[in-house]
Amino acid sequence: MTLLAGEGPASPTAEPPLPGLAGLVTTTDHKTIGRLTVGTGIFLLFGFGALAMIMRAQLTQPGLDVVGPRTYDQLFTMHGSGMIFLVVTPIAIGYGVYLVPLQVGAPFIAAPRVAALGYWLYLGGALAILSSFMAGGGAASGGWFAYTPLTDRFFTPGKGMDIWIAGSFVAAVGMILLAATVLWTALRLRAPEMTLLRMPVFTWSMIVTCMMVIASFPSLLGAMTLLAIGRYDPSVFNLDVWNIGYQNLFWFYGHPVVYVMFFPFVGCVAEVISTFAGRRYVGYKPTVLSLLAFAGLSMSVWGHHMFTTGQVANDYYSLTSITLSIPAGLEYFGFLSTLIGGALVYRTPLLFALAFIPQFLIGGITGIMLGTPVIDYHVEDSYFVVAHFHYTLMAGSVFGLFAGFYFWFPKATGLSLREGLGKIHFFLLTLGVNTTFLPMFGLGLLGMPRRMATYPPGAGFTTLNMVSTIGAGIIALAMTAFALNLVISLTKRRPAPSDPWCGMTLE
Amino acid sequence: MKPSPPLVVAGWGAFLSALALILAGFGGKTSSFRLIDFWTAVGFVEIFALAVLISRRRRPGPAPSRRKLRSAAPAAAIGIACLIGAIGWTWGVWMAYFALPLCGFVAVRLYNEARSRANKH
Repeated sequence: MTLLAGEGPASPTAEPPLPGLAGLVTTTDHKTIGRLTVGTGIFLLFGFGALAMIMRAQLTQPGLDVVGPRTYDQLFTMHGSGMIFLVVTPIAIGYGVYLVPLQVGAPFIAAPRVAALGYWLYLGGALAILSSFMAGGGAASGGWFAYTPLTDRFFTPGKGMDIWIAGSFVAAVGMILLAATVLWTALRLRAPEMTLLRMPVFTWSMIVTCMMVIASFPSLLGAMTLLAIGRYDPSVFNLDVWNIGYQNLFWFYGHPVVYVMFFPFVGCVAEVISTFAGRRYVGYKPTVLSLLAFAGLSMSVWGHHMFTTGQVANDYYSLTSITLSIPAGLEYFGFLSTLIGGALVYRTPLLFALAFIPQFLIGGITGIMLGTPVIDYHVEDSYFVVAHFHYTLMAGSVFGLFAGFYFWFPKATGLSLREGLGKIHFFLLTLGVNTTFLPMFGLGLLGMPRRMATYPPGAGFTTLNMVSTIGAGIIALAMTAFALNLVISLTKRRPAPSDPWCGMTLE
Repeated sequence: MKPSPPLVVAGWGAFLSALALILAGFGGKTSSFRLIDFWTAVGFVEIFALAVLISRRRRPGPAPSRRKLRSAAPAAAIGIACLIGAIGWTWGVWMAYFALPLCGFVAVRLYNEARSRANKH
């Protein structure tokens, strides 16, 4: 298994791959495209994570001046939009690009050049968004959701916002193309006898993910277009469209995207649990049905981000949001049923998968709380919401991401990651995320608002913020261990056996 | 009933339609804008289902085991051109002129490939 080289198929009808960088740029091999997508996402994870470290440093104590308020606005905007648009979503889809053709026995990914185009658009969008830091007036600063009229030319002047809009648009088109090719591969390029109900759980998780991308990501394109036009002349739109219409368009994408960032890692956790428990996944059909139901319901809950606007049918969105707990519970029963009675082997992938289960549960249950307008009206725009989504995304999805990463790294590179450093990474990250985000629930209930560069000394927020910042430091140590593991494993290579985990699926 | 790929996608789209109808039934603060957004999403999903159905009818068998996989150079060129276009839209239309040679390269490359395919047939 060659590392990052343009790896063409063995078919004699293919063009021979070019060597070196030229081969990488012109590759149509899905494994290389997948590695490029995931590798770019992991690289950006460190960068956008560093922005969070600066924010936590600023909030350690009241009245600190690590960064000014305007810079702080840019930090949370770029951290949020970078992590969602450029890190977790691409890694999630990138896992599918790499694994789905292998898991379904497809000879190649559907429309390989479209898949390659998807990656290059993602990279182009990422470079555009990052270049906004060099704009006069700095990077985009209106929050990752870029609400109007805050993000119009009067309140957010400068080119940073414009290039952010353009980069987000281009990156989203890239994700749509990648998702379409993965979905088509799973539906139309399966090997003979690989029926739909024989596909691994991970492949089903990618199918529902890609269907959500196709359904919801065009809404982001609409929102960015509306924003781009409105920055030149908002009078083109009536007030309802410019304000609430934009929010509807944005959140119609903005809620499904959190499930796009979740379902593939549910699939990773399912595969890891099944492999390290030494048994087939229990409850396959209910899990498949629950994935389909969960994905469908998640398309209908976007209004819960807008409860406090008074412009949405709170009862409908509350009903659908709370109903999400049913398919989620089914999936949890699948995890637990597979674990109970299995002969568990506690390697690093399983540790991350095990931690995913309770941590995502915390995020999920607090999500049900937020899905109740009565509670949401009290904690909206407070640190309670920040804690909720970091528990689902960081303590949940990112742990699933690492479970999959450690699990499939030997497959993707032919090399083994160091188990000792992996366990250090796991233990520090678990300690770090819980120390960082658990206090934020308390901060939210005490009334600390989001997106504030500092807070008054007598507000009672200091201790919890200090604890949270210590946790952020532990996360930094954890990620250093991970980076060290990557560097050592890629330089002092230890070839991996052909099936290091005795896995149960085709790849 | 065994699930088939078009049925899975179309069925999921139908589930979304049911949710959209329930939303419409709630009335009140459900604006037509919201419903247009929802129904457009249903439309994209059903179009994809239709494409899968047509593909199955045209090629009912398994996937071809061999295929001539061409270079992704045009894809990379389009990606770079889009990046230049995005920067040009922000900093000045004159920058977009740098994307023109890339667009030309893509057009020539795709034209040559189409011609060689036509000559083979």
